[in-house]
Amino acid sequence: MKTSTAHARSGLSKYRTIVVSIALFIVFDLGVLVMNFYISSQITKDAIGVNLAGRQRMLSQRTAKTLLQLQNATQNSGDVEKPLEELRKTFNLFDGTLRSFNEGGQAVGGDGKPVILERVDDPAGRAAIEKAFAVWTPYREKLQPVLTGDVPARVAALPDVVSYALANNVQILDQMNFLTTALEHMASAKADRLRLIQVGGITLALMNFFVILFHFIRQLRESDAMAEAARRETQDILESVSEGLMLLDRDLKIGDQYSRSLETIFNRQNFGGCSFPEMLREVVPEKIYKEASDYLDILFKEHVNIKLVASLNPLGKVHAYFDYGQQSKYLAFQFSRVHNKDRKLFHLLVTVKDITAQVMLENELEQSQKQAEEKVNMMLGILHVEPPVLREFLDRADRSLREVNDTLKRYGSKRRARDDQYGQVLQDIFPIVHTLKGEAALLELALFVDKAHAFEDTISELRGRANVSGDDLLSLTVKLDKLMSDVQAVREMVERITSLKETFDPAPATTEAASVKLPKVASVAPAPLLASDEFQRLAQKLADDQGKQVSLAAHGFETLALVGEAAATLRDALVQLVRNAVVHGIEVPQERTRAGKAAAGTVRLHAKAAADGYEIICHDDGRGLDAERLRAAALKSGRWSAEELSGWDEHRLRGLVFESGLSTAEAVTTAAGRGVGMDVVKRKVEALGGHLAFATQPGHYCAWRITLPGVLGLDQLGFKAA
Amino acid sequence: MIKLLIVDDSNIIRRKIERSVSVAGLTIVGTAANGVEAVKMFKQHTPDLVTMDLTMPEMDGLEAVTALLALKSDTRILVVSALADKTTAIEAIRRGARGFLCKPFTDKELNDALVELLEFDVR
Repeated sequence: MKTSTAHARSGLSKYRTIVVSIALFIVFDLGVLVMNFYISSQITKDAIGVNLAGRQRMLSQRTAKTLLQLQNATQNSGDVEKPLEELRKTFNLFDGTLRSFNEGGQAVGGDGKPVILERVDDPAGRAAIEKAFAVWTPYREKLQPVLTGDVPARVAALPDVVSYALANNVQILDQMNFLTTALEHMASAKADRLRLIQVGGITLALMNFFVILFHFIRQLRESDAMAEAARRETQDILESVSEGLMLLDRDLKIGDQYSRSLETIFNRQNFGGCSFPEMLREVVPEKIYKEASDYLDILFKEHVNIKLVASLNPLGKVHAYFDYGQQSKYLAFQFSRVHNKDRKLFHLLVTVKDITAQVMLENELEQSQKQAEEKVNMMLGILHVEPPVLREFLDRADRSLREVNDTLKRYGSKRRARDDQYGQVLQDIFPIVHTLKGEAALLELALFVDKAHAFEDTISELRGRANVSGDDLLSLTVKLDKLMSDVQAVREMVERITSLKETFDPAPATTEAASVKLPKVASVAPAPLLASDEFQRLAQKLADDQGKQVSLAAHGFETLALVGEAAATLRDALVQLVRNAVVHGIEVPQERTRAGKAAAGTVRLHAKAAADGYEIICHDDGRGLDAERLRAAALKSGRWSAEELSGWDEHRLRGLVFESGLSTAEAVTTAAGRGVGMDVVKRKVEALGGHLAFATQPGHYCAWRITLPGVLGLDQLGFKAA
Repeated sequence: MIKLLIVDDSNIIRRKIERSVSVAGLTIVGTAANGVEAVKMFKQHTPDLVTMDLTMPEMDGLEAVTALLALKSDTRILVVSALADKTTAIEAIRRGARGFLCKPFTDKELNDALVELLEFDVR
């Protein structure tokens, strides 16, 4: 702002100087011209005067000469008319001219035409005229009778005039001589003055010229210095500003002036004349580049509101890559329209900032916030579970995860394990993780359900691959690590919550203390594990997720005296059965209504003591096991060909439920779809010496029966730990 | 009276805009669920202002912008779209739409955007 006013002022004074000097020049020139014109016209007049004054000399002599001729003619009776006529003419000419010299006025010029004579004011000329008049006046008087009178009068007057003429003729001649000289002097004086004026005018004009020249040179220097200072200021700004600044023309070419930071930000030099989009293309993904190109297009559309344009900026925060992806930065671009004096858009000012540090900080903050949130969620996620139950879950989770870890390690250490061995690893660890997920779901520990599901995802993905390498298992190790540390974190949290509870409520502490003396089974007495409300919650949640309605009824479990491994196995099995019943068995309400059933499905869990042990039944009134669906799933798995399957009867097809990796669910969700389950349940139940069987009627029901031997070994009952 | 046409395939958004608009002198003359309907309604009512969704069945927002501007070039179109549609929004602006409002929006944001669209004069 400051510089611009200074500029305006200097511009104005520059113009003022020009105006003044031009005016002076005109005044000087006009003055000289006018004077020149005036004086030269005077000189012309003076020249006429000099000429006529010279003629007066001649006329005075002719007067005398014609008088003598007239006298001669009169005496000799010759022709008098001719000399008389000449005398008259000469007289009139001389007399008129003298009068004009005296008073100013018209006279007859050398060529016979009238001229104007000015009254002679020069003292010398004046004196000559006055003296001439003194002689001429009597001369004139004496001439009158000669010129105008009759012959006798003329003859009588002639001798006197002639004698006067002879006596004074020289006198008149002299005075006319003086007059001539005086007029000549005057003329030459005027010529001198004219020269003086000319010289003076030219001198002034020259001086004016030099003044202007000097002035302009000084001003030029000043404005040069000012421009240089402004340039240096701009340069200083461009050198030191931390943002990358550049101007783009309509062709999106970068201007020659840009800030030094631009070079630092883009790790390159010489931007002048480069195409901005091309430069962008080198560092940002193609998609962003395309978006930016379209955006630059609307930037130049002046009818689009700049506020709107700013809100659409796709380059507000971009991840840019440099040195062939070696280095990456977060950049923020801003665009402003630059208008010229006519309010026409002619440049875009681009501001680029390296916001990497800022973004990193933001990410870090976000990360720590997320971690804190996760902790809180974890805390909230476990509060609804009784600490002893939770501890048991954690113990089992720990054991399961360690098992997975050991399996991974075992194969990982074999440097040249065969591909199918890796496949075996995946097959081994998958059921473990799946079971863990089921248990977590039962306790509604969403955190573990999600993590376990994600872990399962990775395993499934690897199982789907043609060949699995040792490196692939690495990603599993990382996930496993995270899961283990989560288990540890929850354990710590449980301890803290428990100690907090003890602080505020010392009564349970005694129970807790007492439990220490008891065998482990007592402290983890898993009665709640088989409590029907937990299964109800599980069924409800699964049904909600699937858009189904279900009611679950359980009875007879209070009679079960199972602890430790057996209880856990039964629990796993029941989780799986309930899950199966809700997800695969129970239909959506519309389908049920169409089939003439109640909209809400029913799942019944029933436990009773049988003669040779226990019998647990899980019954649902869903669609039953559909042999055709199982056939389709088997075909999809690719393990059997269509021909092979076509030969199977319903019984054999139903047997497929015990095959690993087969699922009739359409999509993989946390609830179902991986085709793991019944095979695991079967294996575990059989490991306890039990038996798993099912009965079904398609469209009506499906029932599973688990039988467990009545007397389980102490090991299996969990007393081993004591 | 300034006439407003609402184009959005979502019933909920259409109703929300209908309920929220409170700009003096602005009257809603119709709603359309896709580009084809929008063109039909446009011919019928020649609105001055159009709020335009981008992702719609039949004829999408971009085509609709082109079609409406071909019918009346000084129509002021406000693109109402999710931020994820930024690229499409830019394309809509290139085609001549005048404003952009990001979903989800508050009543105030909607009215401010409409007022700005009305006030911003084209040089």
